[in-house]
Amino acid sequence: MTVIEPTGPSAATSAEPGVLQLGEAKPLRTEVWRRFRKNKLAVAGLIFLMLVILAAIFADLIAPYGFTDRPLPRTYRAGPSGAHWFGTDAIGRDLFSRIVYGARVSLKVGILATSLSLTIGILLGAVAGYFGGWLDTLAMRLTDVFLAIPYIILAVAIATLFGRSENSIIIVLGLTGWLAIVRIVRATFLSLKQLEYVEAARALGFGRWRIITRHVLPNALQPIIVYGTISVGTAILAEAALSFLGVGPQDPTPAWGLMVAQGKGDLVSASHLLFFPGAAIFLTVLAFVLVGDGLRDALDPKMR
Amino acid sequence: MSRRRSFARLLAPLVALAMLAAACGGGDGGDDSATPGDDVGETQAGGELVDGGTFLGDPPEHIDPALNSTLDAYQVVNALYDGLTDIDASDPDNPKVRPHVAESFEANDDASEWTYKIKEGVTFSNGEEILPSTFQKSWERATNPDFAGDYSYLFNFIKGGKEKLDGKAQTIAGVKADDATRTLTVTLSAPYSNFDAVSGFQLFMPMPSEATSDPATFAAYENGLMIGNGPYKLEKPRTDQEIALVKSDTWAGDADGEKWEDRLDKITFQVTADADTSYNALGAGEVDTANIPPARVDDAESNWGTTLDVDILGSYHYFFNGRNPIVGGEKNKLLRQAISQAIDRDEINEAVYNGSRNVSTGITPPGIPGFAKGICEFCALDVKAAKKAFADWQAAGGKLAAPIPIQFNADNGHEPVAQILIDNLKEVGIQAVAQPFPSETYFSQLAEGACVICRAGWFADYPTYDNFMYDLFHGESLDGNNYGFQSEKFDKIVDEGKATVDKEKQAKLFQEAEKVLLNEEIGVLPINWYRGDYAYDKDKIAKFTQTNFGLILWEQVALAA
Amino acid sequence: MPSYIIRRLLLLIPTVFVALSFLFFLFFLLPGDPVDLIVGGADRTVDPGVIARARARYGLDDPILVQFKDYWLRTLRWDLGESFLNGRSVNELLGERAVNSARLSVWAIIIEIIVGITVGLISAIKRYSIADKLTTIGTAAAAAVPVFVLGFVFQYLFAVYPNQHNWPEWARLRTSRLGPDEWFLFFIPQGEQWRYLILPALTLACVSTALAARMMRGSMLEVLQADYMRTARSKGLTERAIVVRHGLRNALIPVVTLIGLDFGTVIGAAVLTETVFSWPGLGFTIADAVGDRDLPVILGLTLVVVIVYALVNLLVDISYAWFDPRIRLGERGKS
Repeated sequence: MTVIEPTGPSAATSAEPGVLQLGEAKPLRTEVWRRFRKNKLAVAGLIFLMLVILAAIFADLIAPYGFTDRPLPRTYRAGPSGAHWFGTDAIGRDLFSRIVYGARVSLKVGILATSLSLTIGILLGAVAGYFGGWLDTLAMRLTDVFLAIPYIILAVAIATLFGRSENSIIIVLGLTGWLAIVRIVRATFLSLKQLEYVEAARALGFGRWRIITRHVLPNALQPIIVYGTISVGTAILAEAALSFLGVGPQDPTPAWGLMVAQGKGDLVSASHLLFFPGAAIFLTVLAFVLVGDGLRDALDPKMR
Repeated sequence: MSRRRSFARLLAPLVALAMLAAACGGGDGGDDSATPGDDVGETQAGGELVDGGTFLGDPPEHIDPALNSTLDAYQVVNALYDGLTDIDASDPDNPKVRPHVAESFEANDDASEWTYKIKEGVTFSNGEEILPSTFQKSWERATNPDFAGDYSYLFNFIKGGKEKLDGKAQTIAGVKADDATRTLTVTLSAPYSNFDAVSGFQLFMPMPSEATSDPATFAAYENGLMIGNGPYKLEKPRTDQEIALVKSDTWAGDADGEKWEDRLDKITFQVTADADTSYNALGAGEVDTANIPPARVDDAESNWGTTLDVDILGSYHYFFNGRNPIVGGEKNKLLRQAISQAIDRDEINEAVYNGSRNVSTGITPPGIPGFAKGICEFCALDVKAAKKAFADWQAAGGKLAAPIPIQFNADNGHEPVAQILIDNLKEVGIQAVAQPFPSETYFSQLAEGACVICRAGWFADYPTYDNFMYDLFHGESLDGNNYGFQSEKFDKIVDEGKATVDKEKQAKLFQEAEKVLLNEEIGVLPINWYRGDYAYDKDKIAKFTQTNFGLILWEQVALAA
Repeated sequence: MPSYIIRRLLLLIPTVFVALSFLFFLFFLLPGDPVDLIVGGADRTVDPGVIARARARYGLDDPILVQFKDYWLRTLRWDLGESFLNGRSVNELLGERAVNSARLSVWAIIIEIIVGITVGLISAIKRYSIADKLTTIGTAAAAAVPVFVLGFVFQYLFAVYPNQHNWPEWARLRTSRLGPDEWFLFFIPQGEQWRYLILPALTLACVSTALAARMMRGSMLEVLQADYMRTARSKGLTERAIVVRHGLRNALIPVVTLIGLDFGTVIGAAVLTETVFSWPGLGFTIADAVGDRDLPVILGLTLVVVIVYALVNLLVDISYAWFDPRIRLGERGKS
């Protein structure tokens, strides 16, 4: 799967120190929020995400049926109607309910996978960038090895070892998602290391760890936050892809990706089975991407 | 594939053998066709056809008749080779075994020795004549321990076959070939009255001397330009994308001697990744035939010619593991009965298969000689009776500590069936849960005893009742051991049936055995029987016949004028 | 610079060794007896005698370490063995498949570069305009669409629907497969070939183009604000000269990184596209090989992918030096 962008030239090279403001440990929260609010697309995305989160939390209240219920009168592959707002699926289950419950699965996969990959990526990137030397080389070689192993092989192997479920997808995505963030974090640490205030801090005798967490890391936060947000979206997309390949959650779990995979043959005859879960994935991922964009614009101290 | 799989893989493998013996070349003669009501319009001679409905997902592993074990590849093998005998399925309820490359055959009194007289003048497409020794050499090849394939255990039926396979003997003791008198004599390891049908199976087909002479070349043969004696020959070696066949001018004709001179000039089998892709390709005019994904059955019926009306000799069912304490054994019979009567088989057929299957009333499908309708007492939906049986079971001390697992191999379209089963059982008060296994390890795990209620399926290898009874349920058969079905009474009746020469008596015996299986022991849950699944462009193709073995009679396919 | 290149190439060796060895052992770790699967145990219960014979035949009855040693000895001679499944030479198989994948990827990347960079550039320069807003939504949307759904939709719209409504032949595209396999100069489709190539290339390109566009926009925006740009402006250069001569080069760096990464990950993304369009490439091969436990194919394919990927990355890193003369490759702290 392709990678989500790091922020800019500063991510890949050691560009001029002017990229990050000296002394500013964190952008001010209200300032960020104000800027974010001005971006209408990002706000729209945020609202949609709130809806999705609410759906996930209150699924029991919102969904008219359980996700395995096959309500009477039985209809199969029926289109949207008064009784079934999104229609019914191949064995008569209410599609709307399944999509609402599906929000839980998607969010769970997205958030946990991203958390895992961020943790690994930040740790490795920080270590590589800050300490340099053989640790750096080791980390980079490790990255190369992981990049070398085709993602698909890992996905199938892990699914075979741990069973096909959301958890396997979380593991797979976590174990492969850190590759992009590592480079960003590493590059940030590399450039920051050279900064004067860091040298000053060291001269003053501050411990290395303190320097990392209090001064360097917060500046690296911006790309991490942006990347993390968008990454939740791509994780959800990846879950769909892996379900299509048969490696993910199984029936009756109402995973959106699985529903799309099951519905792909229905493009002509029962397109609602493809359209609604597909739209759910699409809109949710889009929302994450827009919010991520908005955050990036809002967090960047140089952008007006 | 993974995982993500197509309908044809559903059919063929997954459970067993989509192998069909006979019909190698000419199922029926003359105007009879396997499907009733085949009203053919004007046809033209020759032409080319591109098939997209046979190989879905993967190219075939093997197209060597000695190694092949899947139905999809058998379509090709069938067009390339003819065997000793052939099945005449023109009367679908009464398939008959008749000689093909053999001019005639007969068995001795107790069916322990079979003698085949080989026709004169039958050759391979390279001109080499087929003699009794040709068969002998081909069988030695197929039993070479370093080369033998999945089906080689069938040679255990022949005296000395097992020893040859185990490497203890150099040749198969029970095979004698006399080229001068054109006689092939086969002595069996035990009397078996249906051996005539078995001997027409692809495993026993003749191979030319270029294939049988050097053991080092056995395995690679199917990757080169194989030579056969069927209505078609390979145009070039197969690739992963397609297998191209052209008309063979040296074909001796089908079992009736009919030469089908007007048959297609060229058939190209294409491999597509996916049933939906192949169906779309049919829609786009890129292939002439496709597989019908279950969701598109209605669409296929309205827009294309289909083979949906053919009853295929295959059964889709769930085994009860006789050795499992939750559902097996004498004490759980009422539970099994309750389960069987709780299932709404019609709903499964309608919801999952769009009505494209036949609801089972037993295990052995219609079309097998000796078939009787309605053998299963507990296979019709009866919620009241199911509830009562369950209550009686509980009253006698039965208790469900946890939901019963319903097991199947994942990603092959069985998930919705399992969901409906679980729902049906819930109605009656029985808690169940779906337990999908990864496809790759499904059968090996079952072999280790993991089955509780596990999905299985079976396609007839050859049209005999014992192919279902013996191979699936007998104590000595491989599968029988996996599913823990143990019944001495059943075994005895089946053994008797196999040795009985009188066909009517044999049928009665096998029916009795099936009754023991389904009504007394309740060892298995029949769900439905398969039907044909090809769609074809009816504007281009006038005649396209699928036999009830699932085979397409390629030499009979004709394009519209 | 040359020593840098040599060092990188040498580093390739341990990477390959570790990656392949990892996979080798993973193969044996996976549940399920590989021999059982090879002889078709996924479809039915197989006679134990058959399994035993197959095990001996494939050398899978030797202890694991012996097999491991044998494997590496063979691989060093570039004897990649034969597929467990159908006995075809892995070299041959990979050769065919890799070529097909390469052709598809190259076109997808060309689309990605042309469309992605242009769109990103324009939206950065014309920031806050309608064009920018549209491309923002457009690229976000394109990045959010599931590739395989897109593939099926394309198939239907451009191949099935036209056939059913009898569009003229020249307007129709093909749903699947490789096609006549006619190429000019190895990469340029000849004759009917382009009809088979377009849809899969577009589908494969879709998500990565969107990402490239977004990346381009982001990095271009940053660059436009950078100090050295202000310097250039104050010197009186036209906006255009500034953009092209100073900004573009710097902005391209992360994009080039992305494209380099894409080349490697294209195998993964390609699995979906190749499956939907039956395009016989590496991605298509690999998913099945794992499920079928076809070890020689898995390892052979990974070997090819690793090497190609490392080489491409090397090229990308070298190109950094061209883009940004301040970067000195081979310094401490950089890989």
